[in-house]
Amino acid sequence: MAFNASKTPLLRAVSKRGYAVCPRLVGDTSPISVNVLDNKLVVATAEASVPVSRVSIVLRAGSRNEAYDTQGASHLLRLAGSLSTQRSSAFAIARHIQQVGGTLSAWGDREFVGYTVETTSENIETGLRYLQDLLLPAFKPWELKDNAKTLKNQLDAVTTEQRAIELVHKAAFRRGLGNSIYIPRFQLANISSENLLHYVANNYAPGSAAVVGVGIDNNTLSGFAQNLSFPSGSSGSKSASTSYYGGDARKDTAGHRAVVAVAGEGAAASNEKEALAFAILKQAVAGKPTKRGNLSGLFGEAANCAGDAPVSVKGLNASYTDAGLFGFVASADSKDIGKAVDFLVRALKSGSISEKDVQRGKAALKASVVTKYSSDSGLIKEIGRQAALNRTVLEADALVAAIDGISVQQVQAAAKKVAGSKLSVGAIGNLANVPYASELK
Amino acid sequence: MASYIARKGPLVFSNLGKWAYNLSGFNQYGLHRDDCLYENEDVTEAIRRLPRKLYDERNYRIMRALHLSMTKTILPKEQWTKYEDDVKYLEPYLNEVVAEREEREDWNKNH
Repeated sequence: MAFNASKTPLLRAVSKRGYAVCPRLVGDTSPISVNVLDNKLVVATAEASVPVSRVSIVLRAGSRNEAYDTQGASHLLRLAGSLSTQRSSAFAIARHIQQVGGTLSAWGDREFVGYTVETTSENIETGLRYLQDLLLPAFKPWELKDNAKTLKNQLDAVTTEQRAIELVHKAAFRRGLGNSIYIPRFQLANISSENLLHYVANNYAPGSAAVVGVGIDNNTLSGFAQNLSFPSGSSGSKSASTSYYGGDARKDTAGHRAVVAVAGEGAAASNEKEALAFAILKQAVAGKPTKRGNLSGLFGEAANCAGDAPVSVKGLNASYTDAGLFGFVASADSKDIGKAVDFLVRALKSGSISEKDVQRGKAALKASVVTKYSSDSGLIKEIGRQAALNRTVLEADALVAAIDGISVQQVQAAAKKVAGSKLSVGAIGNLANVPYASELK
Repeated sequence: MASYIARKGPLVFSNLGKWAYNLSGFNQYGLHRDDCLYENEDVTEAIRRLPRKLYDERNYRIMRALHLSMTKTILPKEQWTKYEDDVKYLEPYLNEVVAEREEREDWNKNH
C-alpha cells in the first residue's frame, strides 16, 4: 500500500528536497527496498548518487515467449517504444520528454522487454506520465510501416558475433529460448499490429513484471505502480518450459572469416548457487584481458596453443529462468578457425579448473558485480532484471557474500557439467573448416 | 481496430439532407462523400493510412467515376450511392490526422 503522504505534492517536495541534499556517495552501493503490491507487481527502489531519477518497467515479454509465427514480435516491441500509444502520440511523448531533458528508451532480450525513463529528479513526474502510457502501445500500422527501414538498419547492424550467439541458442534450445532477439527477415512484413496487440495482451501482466527505480523513493514509485493499467490480467501466459537439445545451426556467408559459438548446458538462474558457480567459471576460464591481448585463463591459453594465427575468443555464459548456456565465441580466418575451435573445445571438455583459477574468477566476478551496483545506470538494469526474474533483489553485499559462499567444488562441478553435456555449435561465415557438433570430441 | 469503424449514413437523417445529397450528383457516379474530399495535406495523410482494402475500393470508385465522366454517362439508377448507405470511411483516420496536426501546432505555439 502506498504511503498517503507521497500523494500530497507539498510533502513530496519536502521528502525530495531532503533527499537531494544528501545523495549517496559516488561509488558507494545503495540499500535497496523491495515491495510487492497486491497484484503481485514487484516494486524495487535504490538511492541514486546524483540527482537523476531512473525508472524502469520490466516485463516478461522477451523473445522466448514468441510462437513460431510471431517470431520477431519482441524486436518490434523494442522498436515501438518510440511510437504512439493508446493514450498519447509519438510526438507528445518525444517532445515532453525532450523538454525536460530526459530520455525514454526501450530495451529487450530473450526474457524481458523493458522501458526506462531517465530525467532529473524534479522532472520525474513528466517521465512517469509518459512511461505509464508505454504499457498500452497502439501499434498503428502506418507507423510500423514507416519504421520498416529503421528495422532493416538495426538488422544490418547486428554483428556476426551476435549472430553466432543467436545461432547457438537456436541449436541449443530450438524453440522458446532458441528464438532470436532480432526479427527474422522473412517476418519483416508478416507481423501485423493485431499480432502485436495479442502478444502484448498475453505477456504484459503485473504478476510477471517489475517496476524499479533509482533515485526515487519507494512510496512514490509504489503509488505510481499501483495505478498502472496492464493490458492483461494478473498472471499472463506462462512461457513453455525449455529443454536443452544441442546440435548445429550454421549459416554460410561470403567472405573468409568465420565466427563460431560453441556451448554446452549451463545453469538456470532459478538455481542460484549453480548460476553463480557458472558466472565464476566464466571469469576463471575467460576473464577479461587486462591489456591488449588474449583472454586470461583456460580459454586464453587454448587459443594461444592453437598457433600464431590471430583468434579472438570470448567467454559465453547465459543464465535464463530455467536453462543456461556456457561456452565460448571464437572468430578467426576460415583456414585457422578449425584448429582454434578444436583446442578450445578440448579446454571446455577437460572439465578441470584449479583452485587458483577459481579464486581469480571470484575476484573478477565480485569486481564486475560491484561495478554494476555502484553506477546508477548499471544498478537500474541489474535490479530490473533481478526483480522481474526472482521477484526480489539482492543487495550488493548479499550478492558478494553469496559469491564468496560458492566452494571450489561447486565451480568444478559446473565445469564437469558443461564438459559432460552435448555441445551446440552456432556458426556464421566461411564455414569450410568449422566442425559439426557431432565431430567435437 | 475498434476505433476505426466507419460511420454509415448521415449523422442526423433529414429529408433536406437527402435532397441536397441527391442534388450534388456525385452519387450518380457511384462515389461516396469521402471520395470527393479536396486532397489537402491532412486528407492525403489520412488516405495513406487507410487499410489496403479500403484504399483499393476508393481508387476503384474514383477510376470508375472518371471513366463515366469521360464517356458522358452515369451509372444505372440502382447502382447510385444511397444517402443512407454513404460510408464515411475516411472520417476516423482524418480526425486522427487533424488531431495530431493540432497537437503539433499547439506545441509549437507554446514552446
